Amino acid sequence: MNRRLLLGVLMNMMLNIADMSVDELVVFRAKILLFGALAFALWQFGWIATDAIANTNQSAYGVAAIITTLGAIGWVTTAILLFKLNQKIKQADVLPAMQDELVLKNRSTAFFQSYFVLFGLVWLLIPVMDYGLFDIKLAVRTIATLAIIIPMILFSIYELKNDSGADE
Amino acid sequence: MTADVGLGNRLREFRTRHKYTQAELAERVGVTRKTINTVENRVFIPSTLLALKLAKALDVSVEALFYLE
Repeated sequence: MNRRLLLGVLMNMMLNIADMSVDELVVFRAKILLFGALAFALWQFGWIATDAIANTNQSAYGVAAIITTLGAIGWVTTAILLFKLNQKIKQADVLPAMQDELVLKNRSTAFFQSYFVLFGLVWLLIPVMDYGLFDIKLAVRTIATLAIIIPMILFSIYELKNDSGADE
Repeated sequence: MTADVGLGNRLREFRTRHKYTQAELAERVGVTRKTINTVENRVFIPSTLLALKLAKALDVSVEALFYLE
């Protein structure tokens, strides 16, 4: 039943893509990326949690495993939606508009800011490693996950904001 | 030239004179409507190429469309 519902929602979203304007496609892309960032975070952080608590708490391990699975399903959904979105962009021949200079500026700003956040986190690892309170492998995986989701979130936010005073 | 010199524009004025919506002008120059909106609101400074495209689409000179303030 749940699988049918999920497939129904997916099919509905895919059919709606066909009728979208460039403006709606831009907003839709930003929302897909936000959803993708959330799904990837659930998948990877859930996975990290399962590895961190593997032999300690069975119920917490079960919850983390469910979160990991949900995140993975969400990530696959994101990939399908991005594939359909790209198909629509090519069909409608709106690729230059979807990658105009404002989009490129937002993308480079998102990557630039993410770089400094991650650079700070890597530097933070150096003194924290001295205490040996955690598994360095898990810490690196956490930073690698953040390296994926922070640019996605920042780019989506920049794509969705600063649109006041718009007309028809 | 001082660093506090900004770039002003009369994009909204010329666009409404041509009775274009932001979306219509965006389609003519190959950008998103939001790009037009952010240029009009002075949130985003366009490149020379986009400034020239906008001027051409609105049939005015770049100097008429953009100015230093």
